[in-house]
Amino acid sequence: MATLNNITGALVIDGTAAFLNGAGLGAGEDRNKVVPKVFEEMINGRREKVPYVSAQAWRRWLRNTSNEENSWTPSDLQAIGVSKKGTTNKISTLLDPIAYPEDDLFGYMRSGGNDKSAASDEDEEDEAPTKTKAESVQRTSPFKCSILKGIRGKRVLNVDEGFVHLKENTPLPYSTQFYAAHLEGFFNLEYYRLGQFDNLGSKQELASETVKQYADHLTGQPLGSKGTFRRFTLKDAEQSRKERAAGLLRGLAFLRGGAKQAAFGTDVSPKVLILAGLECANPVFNNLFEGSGEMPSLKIKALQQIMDDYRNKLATPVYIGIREGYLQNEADVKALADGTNVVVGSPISVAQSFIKAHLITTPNE
Amino acid sequence: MNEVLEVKFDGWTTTPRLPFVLSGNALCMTVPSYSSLLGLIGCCLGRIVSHTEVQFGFHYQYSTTGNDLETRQRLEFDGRMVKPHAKGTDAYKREFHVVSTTDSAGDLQPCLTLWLNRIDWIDYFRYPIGTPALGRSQDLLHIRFDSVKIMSVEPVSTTNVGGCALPFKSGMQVAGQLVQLADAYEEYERIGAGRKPINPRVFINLSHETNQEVTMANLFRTSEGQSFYLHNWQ
Repeated sequence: MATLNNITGALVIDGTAAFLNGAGLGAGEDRNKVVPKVFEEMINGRREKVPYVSAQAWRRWLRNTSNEENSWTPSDLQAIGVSKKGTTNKISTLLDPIAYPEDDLFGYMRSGGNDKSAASDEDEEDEAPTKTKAESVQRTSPFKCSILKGIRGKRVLNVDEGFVHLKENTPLPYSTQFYAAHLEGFFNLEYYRLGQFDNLGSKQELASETVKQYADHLTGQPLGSKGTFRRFTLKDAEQSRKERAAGLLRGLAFLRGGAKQAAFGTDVSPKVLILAGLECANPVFNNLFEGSGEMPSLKIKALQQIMDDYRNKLATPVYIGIREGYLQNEADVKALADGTNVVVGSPISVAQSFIKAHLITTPNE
Repeated sequence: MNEVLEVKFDGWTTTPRLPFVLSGNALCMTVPSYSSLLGLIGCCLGRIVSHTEVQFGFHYQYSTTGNDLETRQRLEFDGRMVKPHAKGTDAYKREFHVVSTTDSAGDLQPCLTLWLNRIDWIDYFRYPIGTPALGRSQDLLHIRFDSVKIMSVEPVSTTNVGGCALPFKSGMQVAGQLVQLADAYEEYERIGAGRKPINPRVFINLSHETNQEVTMANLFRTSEGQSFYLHNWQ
């Protein structure tokens, strides 16, 4: 059996009549129109507008939902640099992946700065500047996700014409572009990195003060070809890794967020959620949906090909969660369920089944 | 050299960022740099890969460019406490490449092909250790499982290439984007000390739309007829 190193998957959000991520005002003279984020794709030699939600936007939804669902304390943004005028010029989260699951799962960055006065011509060519004002600390996110992109054939842009009455009998027109789209995204959680922190030359995941603060909770080992770098691992990493990954999946299953909820009230919880534990980190479940019918369809042949190609690297069955009546080929998807290689249920139930089977932490989970 | 490892990637978006432009708006180069691709290779291997370990060539293509808006949270200090800025949040523009071209069946086409002289690394690309991404963390790439294969190649002196970067020499009869970049970066040995640029020089980035004839060393043609320039860091 392969080792569970990564949890990879895909999700689909029902965005029929939605404005989930804004791009400001319309172009040129069209300044009384609010537009959502859109890019252009080449389809059969012609350009087609594709609505999308940027990854940073839906990661924020996921961070908030995960914190709420698990009662985690958010790692709040704080000011870490103040200019001469007294205004903030740098912000970061609390940079503490040991106390805050959010920092462990989503990474962080604090840029330091070289003290240029310390650099001189006498420095040897191979030597880095020895004095710095503040340490640069950065942890690349173990949870990596694509944008949420309108499925081909299921992405139509519309305009809502509205009026605002600033004074009686003086209606001013304004427009809101919105979409009727089903949005697909894919992701990979580098599960093996949770509770594990590498301090390298260019990337220092734990600040020196954090290493000192949690010295009793960490084990360190040398890293790199010359052994000059360090890898710190939480002593209870296996336990905390399971808890935090389970918390993230709970957040994913109950996802909430999105712009203009008062006007469009879009439910962004996944209508389709695919999950699988994988030994390797290839985000394999990309581009799995099409929209040639009335509703989106799952490309079953492509999914089967993925399962065949990665058979010896799949550490868990493939869990497919679908909302009843959502997929065009729902019956074919349900027919895939065999209990050993494919498990089919609702998006929330498959997240719970995945947690129960592979990330169980307490008997009551 | 008569064999290389060929790896094809597909995805939706990439950001081969033009470095040194720090005005708030981020721009893209027409092709990614060798140092970014070396990082992508290191990601697949799950460790830092030095430029001395591998030589590779590439072909990169994209279909359109998009502009993303990233929210910037602003805080201010009123003398007593830090609070959200009265003017609210701010936004940065981030240019990115849309690489998701599909065939008539709706299947994604590859956007990046790598040819490496390390055929012993085949399993790292079939089963990468880290999640491949080109640019920002959201620019995830997917390795096409069937595409990872050993390919026989023959050296050629003149061929047509595009979607790649060539070290620029005066007198070259090619059109492209000139950029000054380091070949690669190497880690300093002390934790947190940063990285050292290796061999900064001028490259000419050839767009994939222009297939231009070049005559130079290190050109190869695969048994499937695709030509590429193998960068050997010299």
